[in-house]
Amino acid sequence: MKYFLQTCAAAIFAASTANACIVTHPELQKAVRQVLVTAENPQISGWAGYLNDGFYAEMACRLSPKLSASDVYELQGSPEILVEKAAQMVLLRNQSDALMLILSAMQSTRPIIKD
Amino acid sequence: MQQIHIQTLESLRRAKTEFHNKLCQNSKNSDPLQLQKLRSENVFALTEFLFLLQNFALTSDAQRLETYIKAHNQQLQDLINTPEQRVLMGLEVPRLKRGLFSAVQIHKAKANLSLPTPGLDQADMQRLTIMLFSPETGRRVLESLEAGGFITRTETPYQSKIIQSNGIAEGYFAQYLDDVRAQIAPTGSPQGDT
Repeated sequence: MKYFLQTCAAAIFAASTANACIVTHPELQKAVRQVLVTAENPQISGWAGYLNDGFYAEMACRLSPKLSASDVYELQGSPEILVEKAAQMVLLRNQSDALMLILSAMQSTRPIIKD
Repeated sequence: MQQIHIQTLESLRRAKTEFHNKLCQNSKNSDPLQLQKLRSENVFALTEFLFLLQNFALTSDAQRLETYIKAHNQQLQDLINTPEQRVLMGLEVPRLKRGLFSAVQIHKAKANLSLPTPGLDQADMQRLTIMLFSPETGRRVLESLEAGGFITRTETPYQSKIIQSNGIAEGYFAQYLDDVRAQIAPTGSPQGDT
């Protein structure tokens, strides 16, 4: 249980400090909620009931590149694995690519005016 | 081991650390959590963006701002139309669409430069940095810079927040670039390399 909570906290912390996932996946979100809320361990299922929609949306978004809703349903009975997968799928993007594009767009406006 | 590579790497790292040190030393809020935020990569990336905005004078000329926004829109549209590049950058279509400016939004962004407190609206800043951060992350990074006293966010009667920078963070970024350049001798060897 302690490991489960720690992993959940890590997933939430990573989501809040990295680039938040903003795409919604309602079916996947429903599946994640189902797996956690129906966990056999009453402590996990009870605790999962207190988690808000934002948590489930974030987890679904993180899982979406590699797992479908049916994949998640197959993890029923193993909520720890599900949360661990979500924590592992936090993706920190390379911001240099974006900054190069931004620089390129700005360079299209005019030459640099300062030395 | 190539000593020159190690020295170059050390120069880059030292200059970047010094950039964050200056931000923290001059933050008006010295709460440890605030200082931790000021040392984040996202703050470095946003300061680079602000530095570029300043150096291309994009918030002082409405026509240049419009040209920039249109180039930004075109880049996002190209990414939307090119899945391979989009996936490599870890970006998704709904997110990119949130970064697109409509014609009305471009008009408003230009009009904001004529306000008594001229600047970019926070929502426009979030659109322009959509490839760097999600809008929520962008807002949090701006809040960190505001808490440090490096930018102000002024609420207008039109439910927008105009962002103005005092230029201090951009100055530290310029010093970071100067430090990196100063460490590299004209021959390409870091100074002190014999």
